[in-house]
Amino acid sequence: MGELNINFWSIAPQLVLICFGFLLMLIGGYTKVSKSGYLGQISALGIALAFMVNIYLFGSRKLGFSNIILFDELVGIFNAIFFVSGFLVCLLSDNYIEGKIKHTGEYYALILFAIAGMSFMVSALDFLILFLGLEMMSLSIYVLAGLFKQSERSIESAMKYFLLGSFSTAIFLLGVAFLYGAFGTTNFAYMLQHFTKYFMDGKSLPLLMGSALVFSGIVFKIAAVPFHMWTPDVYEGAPTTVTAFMATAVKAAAFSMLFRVYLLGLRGVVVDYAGIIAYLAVFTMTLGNLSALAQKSVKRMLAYSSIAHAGYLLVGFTSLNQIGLGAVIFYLISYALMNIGAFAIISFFEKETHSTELNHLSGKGFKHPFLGFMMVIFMFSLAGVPPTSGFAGKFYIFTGAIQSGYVSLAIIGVLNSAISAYYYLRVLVYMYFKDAEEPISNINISAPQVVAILISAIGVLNIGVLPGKLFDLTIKSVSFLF
Amino acid sequence: MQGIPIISIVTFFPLLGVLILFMINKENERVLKGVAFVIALIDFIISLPVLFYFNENTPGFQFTEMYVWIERLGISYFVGIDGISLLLFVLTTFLVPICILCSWTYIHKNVREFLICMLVLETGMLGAFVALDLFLFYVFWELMLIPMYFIIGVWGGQRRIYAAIKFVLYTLFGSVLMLVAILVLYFYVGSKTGDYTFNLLKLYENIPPYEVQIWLFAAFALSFAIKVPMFPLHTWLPDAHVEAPTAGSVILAGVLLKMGTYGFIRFAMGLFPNATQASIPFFVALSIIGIIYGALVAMMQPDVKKLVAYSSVSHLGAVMLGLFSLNREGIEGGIYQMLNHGLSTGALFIMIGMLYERRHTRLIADFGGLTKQIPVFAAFFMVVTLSSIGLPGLNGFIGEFLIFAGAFKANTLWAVLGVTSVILSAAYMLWMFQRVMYGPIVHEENKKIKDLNLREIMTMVPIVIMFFVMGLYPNYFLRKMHLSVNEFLNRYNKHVTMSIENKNIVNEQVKGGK
Repeated sequence: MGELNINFWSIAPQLVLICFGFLLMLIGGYTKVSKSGYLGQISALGIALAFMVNIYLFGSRKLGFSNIILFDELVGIFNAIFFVSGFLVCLLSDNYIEGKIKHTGEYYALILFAIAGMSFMVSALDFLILFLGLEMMSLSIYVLAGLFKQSERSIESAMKYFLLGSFSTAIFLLGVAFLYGAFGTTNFAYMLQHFTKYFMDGKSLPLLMGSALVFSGIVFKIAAVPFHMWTPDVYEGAPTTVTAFMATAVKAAAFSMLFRVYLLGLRGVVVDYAGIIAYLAVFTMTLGNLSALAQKSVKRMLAYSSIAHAGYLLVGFTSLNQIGLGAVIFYLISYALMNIGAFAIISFFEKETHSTELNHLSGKGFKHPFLGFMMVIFMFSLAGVPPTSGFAGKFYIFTGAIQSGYVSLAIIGVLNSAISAYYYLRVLVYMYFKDAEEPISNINISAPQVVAILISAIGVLNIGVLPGKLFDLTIKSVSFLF
Repeated sequence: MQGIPIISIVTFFPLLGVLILFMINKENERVLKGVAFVIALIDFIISLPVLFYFNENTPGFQFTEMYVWIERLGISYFVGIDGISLLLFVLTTFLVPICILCSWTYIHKNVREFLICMLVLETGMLGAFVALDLFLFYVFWELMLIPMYFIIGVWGGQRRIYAAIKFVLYTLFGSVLMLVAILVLYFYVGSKTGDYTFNLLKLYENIPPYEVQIWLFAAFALSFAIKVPMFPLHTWLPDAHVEAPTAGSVILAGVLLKMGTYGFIRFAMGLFPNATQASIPFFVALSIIGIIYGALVAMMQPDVKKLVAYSSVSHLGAVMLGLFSLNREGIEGGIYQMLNHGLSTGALFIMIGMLYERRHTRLIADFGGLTKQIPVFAAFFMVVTLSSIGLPGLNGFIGEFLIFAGAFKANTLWAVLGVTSVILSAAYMLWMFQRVMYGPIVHEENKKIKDLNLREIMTMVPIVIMFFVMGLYPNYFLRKMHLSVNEFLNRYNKHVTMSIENKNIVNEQVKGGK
């Protein structure tokens, strides 16, 4: 395993985040509750700083801590997804959590810790670090989901997520134990190197058991069928900003696990899983979309739709070629932007009407032209209509699938995408086609929130019209696998 | 004309208008309408050089522009115009200012958003007609959905929400399958030639074998057949037409339906000739059913707008019959009829909109005896009706005549069945005209009805002039298509005969083996 080589550069972005996390808790403790408005900006600044460190490191390859941490381009690009999502969520939380969460310092600190955990997950070259990162992220999110202490739904959501999440991590850990039994190590690089040596004559039972259990743990976090049941309740109950964070960053982190574990450590078994993942993808897409059709609450609808999007992402993963895997990362980026944007707008209206029901959106589109127009962009992007990033992402995913010969998977995927148009457009039906039922009051949106929405919308359009550069970058980040 | 990216300018100029509209105060409706109209008019004027400088002595694409867009996948921004798309392109720029003019008083809420939708829609339509890269085409093709969805849904009639969603879902289901087919074609041709590209002209040169073609053709044809719309996929059309505001109906009938027929000739038939050849009977049968069914249903409609909507099904059936005759007369007639239908059905919708603004009803039974009250309207309505049923001397006649000549050349039976549309359309249109315009005035309200004002006359005059121009000098327009249509047919026949020869060779080998 070589001598002890500690390389702090390999975890530099995480260090920045953790420092800022502690700083926020400190400042939060010493700030009057009424004056804690700027904490969101501080946390956003921390994330921005981590992002810059990440960009500075991007392109280099840093191995650290006796080969258990690796910073490479894949880590860089996943970090970017986490940081951008976190940055947007911090800016958006500003107004939304005011009055509902007393000590906002903790809220922002938890977001930073969660992001640091994700970052550890993707840079892990060892199951143990991966697990630590996973727990660091999960525990922070459990707490975040329940931070609206006045709301029963929020508590319920946190409890549900915590219990089911603990089960899934336990199963994950059991899988790791099996794998340790099979390999005698938890290091991905070692597993990869010696895979053929260990399993020359067939794959042993502990290997298969272990990889299956680890896989279930990951599928839970991805919120794919059959481990998706927690998603709607948890997403609906949690504070909307936290839901936005869960649906984007946590999902991305879960996919980063899939990349790290199954394309690096257990690369030898991934081919066996491709068929299973293909089926999971079909069921996940279809179930997510069909359930979303029936929802009356936008938030719950977006929860089901996030299941459907997990399905599209799995289609990309199944294809196991450069375009498909690059497309997964590309789609995660575009999904983060459009989904956070959509949740943000829902959170603004929720603040005003205390409800996320569809009929409370009636007539809002023309009354709030800016928010309405932004929602049009996000909804069409989620539905995958050009010229938005959602279309570009789906296009790449299905391109990858077809390149690998999964034409039927692509057909099911595009049909699902057409179904999804119905419920996304229904949001616009209420916002634009129906007349307002209630007197429309003003909506308070703070400057950071406007900035966040604009970043998301411009990102969605920019990536949609000129996807080439970003796509090349994502392809490059997975090229080490081929 | 060298060096000026005229097509891109015309295509994206309306978006500039959108930016300007965003900057104008929402309340200032007159200014908004004025600006949008001027923008659309300028766009029409700058599209005229394309028509005038179009070189009719070359079959290929002209005014082409090509920029790399997404290099890794071989996607480029590649646009150009040939004899098939030229006139449809100009038709679009011609109709949009008229649409804005005819919505002047019809649209009175959210005017700015409406105008923005119209201009974005124009960009989408123009782009779809000039795109020569499959990916680019798909982007424009879907882009049209967004503004049209809002136009029907926001400014439409009673059942607008149902109609808008039906329109989008129908179109989307067809087009997503086309996307898969595009990708399959891309990888198939790419793996054969090593050149992965979405460039239409390169794909034309590498036609996959029949077994592959037939599936891809099915996906493309489904998408286009929904848009045309061909029987039995036409059910979204009456809803969308009836619910859409006047301008929406005009654009829908005038241009969007032509996307389907244009898509057939440019993509489905152009890329998959053998599959087309094999499915001629199927499509001709559907076309003829559409012609007769549409006309019969139209005859029974109590609502004028619905009547015209069903007449579209019938007319478009005739266009498809012309295209699938696969000879020069048929195809040129089909394209010519696309233009005619755009103008005459567009004009019909405009006039029905004018009636609706006055009486807030479209039921035939609510009218009667209007000729005496509104003579100017009556005169225009008569010309438009006659154009729609194909009176010699007006534009409709030329298109129909060519289509049936083509159909006759291909198969006598097709022509005999198809030509019933002439009788049927005369029946339902003239009967409708009689019930609406002649007879005694039964309803008191009809006595106070006002005749056309200057703006409305100015809306109609350009269209009526075009009726006569296209009816009397068809050669000016047909001349521009000749070579491109010839080129299309040559390519088509080459592939079809080649595969027949191949079969013969195989047969001979089999026989020889015995």
